[in-house]
Amino acid sequence: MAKFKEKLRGFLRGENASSLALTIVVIAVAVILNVLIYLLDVNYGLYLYAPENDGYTVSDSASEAFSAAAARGDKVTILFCRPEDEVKTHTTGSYVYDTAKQLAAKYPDLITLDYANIITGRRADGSEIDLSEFRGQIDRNSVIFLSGGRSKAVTDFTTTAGYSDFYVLDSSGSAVAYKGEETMTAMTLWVLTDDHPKAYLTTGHGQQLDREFFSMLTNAGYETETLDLRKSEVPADAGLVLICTPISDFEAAVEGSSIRSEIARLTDYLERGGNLYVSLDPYGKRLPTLEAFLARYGIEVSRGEDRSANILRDSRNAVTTDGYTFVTDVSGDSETGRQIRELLGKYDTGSPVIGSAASLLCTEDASPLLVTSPSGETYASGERTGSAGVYTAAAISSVAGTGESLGKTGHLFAVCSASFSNADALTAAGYANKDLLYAVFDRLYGSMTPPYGTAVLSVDSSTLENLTMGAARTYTAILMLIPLALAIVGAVLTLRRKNR
Amino acid sequence: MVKAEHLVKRFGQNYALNDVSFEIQKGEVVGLLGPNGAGKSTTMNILTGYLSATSGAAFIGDVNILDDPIGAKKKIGFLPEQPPLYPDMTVEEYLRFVYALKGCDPDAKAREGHLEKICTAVRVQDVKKRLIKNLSKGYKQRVGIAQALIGDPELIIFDEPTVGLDPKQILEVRNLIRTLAKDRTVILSTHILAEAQAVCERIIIINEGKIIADERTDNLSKAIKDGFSYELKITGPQKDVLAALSDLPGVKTASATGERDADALCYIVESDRGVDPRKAIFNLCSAKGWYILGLEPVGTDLESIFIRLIDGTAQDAAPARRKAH
Amino acid sequence: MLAIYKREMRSYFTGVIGYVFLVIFLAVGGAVFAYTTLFSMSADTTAYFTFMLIFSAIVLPLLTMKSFSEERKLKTEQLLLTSPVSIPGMVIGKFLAAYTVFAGALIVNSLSFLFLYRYAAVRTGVLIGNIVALLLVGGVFIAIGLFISSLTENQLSAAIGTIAVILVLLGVGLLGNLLPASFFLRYILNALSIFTRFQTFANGYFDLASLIYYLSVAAIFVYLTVRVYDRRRYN
Repeated sequence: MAKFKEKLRGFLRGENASSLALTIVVIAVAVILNVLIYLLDVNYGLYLYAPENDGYTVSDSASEAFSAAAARGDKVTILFCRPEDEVKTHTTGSYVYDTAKQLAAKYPDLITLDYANIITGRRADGSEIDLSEFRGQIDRNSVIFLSGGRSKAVTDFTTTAGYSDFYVLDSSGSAVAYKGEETMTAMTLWVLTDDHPKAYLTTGHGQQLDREFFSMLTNAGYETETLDLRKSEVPADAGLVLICTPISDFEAAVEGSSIRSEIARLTDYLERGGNLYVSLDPYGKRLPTLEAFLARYGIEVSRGEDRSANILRDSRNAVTTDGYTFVTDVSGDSETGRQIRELLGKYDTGSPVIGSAASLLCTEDASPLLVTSPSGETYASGERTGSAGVYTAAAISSVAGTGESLGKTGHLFAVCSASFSNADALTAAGYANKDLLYAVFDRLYGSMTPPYGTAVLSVDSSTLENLTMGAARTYTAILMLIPLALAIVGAVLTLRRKNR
Repeated sequence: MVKAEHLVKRFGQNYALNDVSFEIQKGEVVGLLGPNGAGKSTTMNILTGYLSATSGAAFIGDVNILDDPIGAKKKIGFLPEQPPLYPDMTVEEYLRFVYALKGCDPDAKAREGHLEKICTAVRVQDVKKRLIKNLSKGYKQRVGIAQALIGDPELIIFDEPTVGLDPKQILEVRNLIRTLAKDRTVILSTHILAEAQAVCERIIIINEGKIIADERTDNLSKAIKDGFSYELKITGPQKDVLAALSDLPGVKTASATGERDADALCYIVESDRGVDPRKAIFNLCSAKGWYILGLEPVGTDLESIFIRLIDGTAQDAAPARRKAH
Repeated sequence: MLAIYKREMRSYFTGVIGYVFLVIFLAVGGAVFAYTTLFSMSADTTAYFTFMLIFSAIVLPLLTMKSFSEERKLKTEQLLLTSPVSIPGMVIGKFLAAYTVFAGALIVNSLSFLFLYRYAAVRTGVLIGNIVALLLVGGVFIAIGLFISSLTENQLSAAIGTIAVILVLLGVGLLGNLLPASFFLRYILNALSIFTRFQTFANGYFDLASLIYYLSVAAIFVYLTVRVYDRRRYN
């Protein structure tokens, strides 16, 4: 017994070779413990991060529309093309699902959700649904809005992100922000009415027709179509015609020719009370015919020496990484100006000048919509070279209807800024897209706020906004200062000690 | 205070300690004496818990060091062969560290007082603020001694404390140890007999892992000297002289050293215990007509006893082991 | 143990190692932070933390390389082992000292994230998750470093050995992702992989299983270090 005790004591002290065995046992136990816990998928944990779930806000006008529709007894079904639990856990679909749920919760009499299997053609409850009209247009990432025989499918096959129409995508097709509320409200409103204004995007001159623009117009309630003015007249139902940064010039009217030129068609359209939106690339080559057309209505494109990119670009105070800054002092107390100023208020830029705005000069017939501040300055290579005065970035001209269209007013809206047709709707460079477009709506509809007015929720808050290069450099310098100070302190202390 | 029971330590095939046992009472000052590699450091390392014996047990104050290592180590102050100093610390910092390491009273005043006392005792006050790596060997050794003293341990173990010091420093250290020894148990190891003689009251001689003597210092020479040795210078043919000397009753061995002095050769004669062979030698030589030109006792000092013992054990199979009374 | 802890801390900052480590860590950490967030205009910290994980693997051995190897070389381990201090106490004291320096550096470095709050809605949960994960992984690396350092007298060997072991461990984890078939083996490798466990924290999920994992791996290496010293006594 004493011998056994002695041995045991020795074992515990690690004397014998069996101490090696003890070590192995300990390691084995730890490994097995960890593997087991992992395999059993023990899920004890604490979520430190839950994605923000802002409540869904609906603009007043949309709210009114919804209430009115509910009162009328209309019903809207939001139909997902996936089973519910799949949508719920889908990376991008889950947000859409959440938004739909919230919307349905807010307007339970109006909106219901449903889930269909697009292969078998059955709804969640097993009943059949005819999706043949959407054949070729939808996939499992689609969401279909149905109301009273009307339908609208929201889908996109061209990008990699699922449910991409509910997101803002960057140039590579990845989702950078979530705009589901906007899309959902817009589409719900869409199917509640048969009445959709039409927007025609002209083609044939290298116009930019990017997806984002389409999406924006769609969400604003427009049905979009393309229009080749060389081949056809502006259709009668055109609510808005857009010429987005053409590369080649339009054809002038040829005197005496029976062929109607595009310009002639546009002129007719305007004078019928149509709305024309033109955006020009200030870096592009001159388009004399088109510019002459604009000039007729009081909007001159001035491409003077101030167009030099060097002068007008200021990378030090830039809002965008390529040097554009923009501040506006919109003339007058217009709501447009106020709202735009509000939007731009976050830019702490002093009074820089819009980078590459060629100025539009407005004569009496036209009025500037967005101008740079009169205290703006020009810079070259970071050096101030002069004061830039007032540059008009966007201008609008009202065209009085003639002949049969007396009493109607057409609108010509021109923008000459490279920022405008930027596809990135939510970066600093792209604010111009929406805001300027809303400026159009403002004039056209008297209300700046689009029908679905919610702020776009940025799901991935990973873009640093307003960070200037200068600030970045300052922060880095501060960060480097600490180790530097430490190094000096350390060197001093250790050297002093060496000789003690 | 200290008990070693049949300590055996094996490194691979080599036995560093082969059945070492001894017991040291409280207050004794014991010297562990032996040539390099004898097992002195190993014994000390086992006593202090740095190593563990392959078999056997060591007790500090009746507690087996393996059963309660921390309790046992608290009672010990140890200066290893190479003082365990941190070169990048100052003397002050180092001593404070050892103070904390030994679990002494954390009160700052008590600590400073205690360390001050020790620094004065070992005379390192002047270099308190210097970096250890900038100290001379003598000072380093003293700092090593100082750390052994921290905490006023009951048992202090010094492993070769004077190695590498100059004679003045050696004297200082020895004096210091003597002072310390007054109220503590001290074990010190050395390969210099004179040192053991000077400082210790008891000497344990160890060689090749075995204890070959364990005596009170003053008894040592007496107890070991069980025979007489003489150096003779005798004229005459070597062979005959040697044969005749060896034949003498009471003579244990006779050997020629090979030296000459005039026409006499030198011989060493060892006699049996208690036998004084001088008269017999005189008678012998006069009978044979050989002249005795020299007759001197040799090997009565401890140094040669020591060497003899060592050599003796190298030749003998069984160690001559005597217990102290 | 406290005495050893204090001594180690002091030695880090009276010698150059502490400063060198801090300077390198903060300088590189700061530069990487600036490059991956500020100058990329992004508040996404994934790149930063992935880099810091690998970087820690290389730079933490600096802290631990002399922990035990120097004691052996200077023979001061004789002092430590003959003093009334337990071996686990000794190992843990050194561990805590190295860990304090590392954690301090990491936290100071993490203050730089405050800059981001001004410019974007930073996901605090994710940030904290990542920092905690890095703290835990650092503990593991330090434990490995201590163990390797106790095996050799040469500081350089200790450092290189530590980096090698850490990279092997990280590699094992990656292997789990590469193995196609052998489902079960893959599962096991994933369970033991540092990367996988890191991910859960990085996603803002404070996972008990991963916590246990990190703590147990660190504990194993601390235990092994204690065993090394135990065995040496009996050698």
